[in-house]
Amino acid sequence: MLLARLADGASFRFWRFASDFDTVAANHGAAAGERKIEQTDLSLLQVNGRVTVPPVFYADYAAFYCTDFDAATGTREGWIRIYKYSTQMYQLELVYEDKVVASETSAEYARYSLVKLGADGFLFKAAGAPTIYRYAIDTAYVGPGGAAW
Amino acid sequence: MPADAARCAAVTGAALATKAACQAVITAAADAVSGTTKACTYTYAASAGTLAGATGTANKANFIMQQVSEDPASYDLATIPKIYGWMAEKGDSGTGSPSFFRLKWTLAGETLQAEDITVVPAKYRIAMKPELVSFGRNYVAIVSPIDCAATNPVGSLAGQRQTASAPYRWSRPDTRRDVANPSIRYFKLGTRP
Repeated sequence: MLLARLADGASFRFWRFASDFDTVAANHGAAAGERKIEQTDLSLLQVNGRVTVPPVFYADYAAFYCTDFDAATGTREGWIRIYKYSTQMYQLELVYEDKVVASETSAEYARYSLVKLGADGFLFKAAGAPTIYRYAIDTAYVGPGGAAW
Repeated sequence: MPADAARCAAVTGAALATKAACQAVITAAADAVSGTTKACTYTYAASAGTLAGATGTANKANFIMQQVSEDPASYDLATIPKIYGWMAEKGDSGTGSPSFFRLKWTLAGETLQAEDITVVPAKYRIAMKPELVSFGRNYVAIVSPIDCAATNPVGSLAGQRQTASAPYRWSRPDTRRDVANPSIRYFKLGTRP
């Protein structure tokens, strides 16, 4: 997946490259829709919140860490948002989100860790917090209150 | 072999499965001018704040992980880029020479195991700030606040504006002691740094 981040900071233009890129590119018109390199009318993704840590990709999944301001409570919150490429919509769609940092006070986002474990999912750790969370590649995601370790 | 490197090399064997032994490796390796690498089998416990096989508390709050960039020339879904981790800036206790770990993930038990430790030679005055570190497949590049020719003379940094008594700092609003001649140090992974 190739993402181009737009000037608003939350929108992405994306192109999906399959492992058989050469084959698809050579006969793009005949390729199945979900394997096309670009769907010009649907290739815009807007991620909720402010993307503060570089996203991580594995297969059809993408993990974002974003911060949101909760106007009701007056606090800034940190969210893990998992997107999956839909072969029906030809689009990344939000499949899971988790408020992993209830009160986000850090600005040292370079110290945040977001890595992938392949089929075992993603690991996330906030700066200054001892807990590492794993988000599985499944509908059964785990996070705070789940299998934190 | 220099005496300090020999001391480092002497720390070997199955004892590397404990925290104390791994710390001995780190300490000894920090003494070695040329640096070294040792394989540790020490594993963090799954529960927060405790360590397997040893007493004491890991300051996991300062732990940082970074993943090697994908290889665009031969992307393989089954090959997960290696993960490296380190304690922010200067190790667990905030002092001493920085070191980084190659981590191994195991789903059963959900553990991250430090399967290799590399000590960054203290003579380069490197602080492992994540924004100044980049892990590649073969090399790690780390920005050092001293120039290419300088090492770590205690008491002065020849050719630099900062001194040992006025610690160096990266660009901040107070730039009186800013970094004048930074360099990028490349370390080949899997070999002695």
